[in-house]
Amino acid sequence: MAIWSTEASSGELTIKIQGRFDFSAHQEFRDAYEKVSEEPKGYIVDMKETTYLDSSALGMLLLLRDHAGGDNSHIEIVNCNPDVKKILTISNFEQLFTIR
Amino acid sequence: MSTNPERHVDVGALQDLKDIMEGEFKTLIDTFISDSSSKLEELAAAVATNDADALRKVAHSLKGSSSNICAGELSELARQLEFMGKEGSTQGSIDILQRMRDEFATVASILQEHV
Amino acid sequence: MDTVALTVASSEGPQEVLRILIADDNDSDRLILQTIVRKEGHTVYTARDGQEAIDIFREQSPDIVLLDALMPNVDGFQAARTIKALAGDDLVPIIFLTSLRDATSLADCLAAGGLDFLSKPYNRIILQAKIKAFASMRRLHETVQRQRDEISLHNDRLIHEQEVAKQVFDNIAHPGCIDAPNIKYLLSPMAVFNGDLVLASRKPSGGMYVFLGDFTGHGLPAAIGAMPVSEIFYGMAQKGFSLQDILREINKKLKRILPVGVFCCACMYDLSFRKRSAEVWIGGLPDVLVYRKGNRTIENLKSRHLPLGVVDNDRFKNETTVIQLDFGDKIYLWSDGIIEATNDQGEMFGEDRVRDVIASTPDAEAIFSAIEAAVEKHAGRGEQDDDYTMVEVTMVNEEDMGEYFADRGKSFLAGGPKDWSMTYELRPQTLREFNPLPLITHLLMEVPGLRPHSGKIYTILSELYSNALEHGVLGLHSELKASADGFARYYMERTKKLSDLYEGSVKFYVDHHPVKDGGVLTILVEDTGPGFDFKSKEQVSHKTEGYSGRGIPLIRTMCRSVRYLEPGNKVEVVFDWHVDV
Repeated sequence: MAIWSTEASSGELTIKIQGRFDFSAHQEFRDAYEKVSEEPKGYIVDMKETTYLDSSALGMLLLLRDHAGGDNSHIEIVNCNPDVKKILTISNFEQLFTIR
Repeated sequence: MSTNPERHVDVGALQDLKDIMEGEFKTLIDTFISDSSSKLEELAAAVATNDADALRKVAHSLKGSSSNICAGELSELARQLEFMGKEGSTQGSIDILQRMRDEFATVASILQEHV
Repeated sequence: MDTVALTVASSEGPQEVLRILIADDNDSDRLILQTIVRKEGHTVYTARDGQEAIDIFREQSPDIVLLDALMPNVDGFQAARTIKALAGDDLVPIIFLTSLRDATSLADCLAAGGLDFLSKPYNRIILQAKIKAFASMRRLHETVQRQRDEISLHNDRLIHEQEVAKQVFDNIAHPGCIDAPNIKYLLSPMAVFNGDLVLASRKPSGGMYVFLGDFTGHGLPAAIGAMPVSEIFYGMAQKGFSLQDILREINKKLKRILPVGVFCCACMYDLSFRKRSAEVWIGGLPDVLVYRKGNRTIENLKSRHLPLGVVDNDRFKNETTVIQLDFGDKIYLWSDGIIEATNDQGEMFGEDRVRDVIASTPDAEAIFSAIEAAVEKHAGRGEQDDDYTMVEVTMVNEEDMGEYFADRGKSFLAGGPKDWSMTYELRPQTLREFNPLPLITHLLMEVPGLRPHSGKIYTILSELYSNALEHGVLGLHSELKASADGFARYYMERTKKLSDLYEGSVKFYVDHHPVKDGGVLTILVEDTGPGFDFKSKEQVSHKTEGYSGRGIPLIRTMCRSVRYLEPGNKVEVVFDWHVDV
């Protein structure tokens, strides 16, 4: 499990999760969005290389959303593979996040 | 007696030992001399009774203490006796024992000079 | 010289003073060694043979032991073994003193428990270095032991805390109707610490609610949400609240008390025996399976909502799916333990395997145990590790519940105020500052069985009260409400007149008495106004369009009777109600 983050010039922060997105990612994920030089205008969570997602990962996404302003947040979750998509669908997270 | 003490005792190492022992040096030398004397008697008894095991044990002890007191030749002779004892025979031991007695006499005299 | 330790500091600065045991049968060797060690600043104990070494070790518990390998009367090897045994869990470094050179002997030293050896002639510098190294090792070992003990203690405490929490939970927990004849369930006693919660309650009006929740996390944090949910569920179910109301209340509570990121995936359904249906809400739980006994097929009900505790109630959606169920059809709920049970190869049990089991089990009543057996076989674990949660509920006839529900049915209408009356008069200050409707409604909701009718009752009270207050006491005319503009003006005038109110009152007289499987509620509202010519008004059919006049005709449809009494400032309604099975 590894987490990469890049700040785009357009003001968006992309966080990429490689491998299993579970409780062990907790601190790193949080650092990725808390330790930034400027508050990003939006967030992109890139799941291209994410193999697995569990309920603690869902919790972490909720924490990000809360950090990003709750109902006023702009978070996109992108490049989900079928397994990841399934979990997000069951939880109906498309009601809270933009999922592509 | 040989005119060169170095053949019998490593004088430099002995001096280091003296520095460490400080006021206890004399006690050490006295202890060594008296202990080694009785050990030589024990060796003689072992040889006389053909007791290889006793030979080995006593020679081993003397080997160690001689090396600590910096008497290399004495230690080597003791090692030879120990080896014989290990091999299980006392053949040829009388000879070595005699050489040990002579060597011990020389060593004792050198040691006492340094006290 | 004597055995006083010379605390001469070494050139490297102050170091730990150690207690060191020296065992050597040779007097001069022993003397040399003890002098060297004392000079390092350590405390020395000496022994001439193995037995003495063991005795001194027992008495003094030294930190490090220097043992001559060959000694009379218990040699070094034997002494080493004994000392190690005496030391137990603690690390006591043993260094063999030897002029043995052969590899076998040296190997023997290590085998006997020695950590190192020092050869003769003794070298002060080497000895110093080894003592230091082993002292360091000993300290490290002690640290590890201490930490291990702390962890162990901490762990015990955690387990104890969980046990206490479990007891508290058991005291709060309600068995509900989980043991009803039409329910089969698998639930380990510690399931709540896996975040699994199963609740089932009979409804006062017949039928039952079933709830399965899967909280995120493990241990105490996962269990703690279960307590308030359980209380809300059973408390509200008993009082006849609807599925949606209960879910809203649970969501509100969890949103408030759980930290962000912690939530409860859940399914709750309202099973009606009479209507042969189930109204289902699923939020975040994977597919709920419905088994059709008739043609042995399986339907999936999908999660359409966010889990409980994620969003505020204004974003909470409580739309449900209603499904028809025939006699013998079954609904299956489970937490992820079943689906995610893995075998040695890391394969999960998965929904497909469940379907296979169902397909290959012709006898519907054997399906539950077949699934249970298949999962346990797959995961290869015995009885001791059954942390699977599964609930099967079968559609039956209410009569089939027999004794189980019959008893409960009798008792549901027991307890609570059924036969009473009260008078409640509101005088000017109260009329200005207080809305009595919630309070009176609340009193009426305490009547067992009346809650499902709360909506109608509130409408009745509200209409009668606003008429009494606005027309009777404040003297406003309802004709003003005929247009949108007029409506606004009406309410402005109402506000003004109310704030200027110093005389007048509205009196409620409420009476309830029970009848078989229901009751009769009489409400009389009287105001201090002049009344109106109700006889002529009643002859005119009330307009049901427009902004005014809607109230009373609607109430007439709900009640047995609506009567005005002379001179028109009193109105009495009689409302009949029955238990709706």
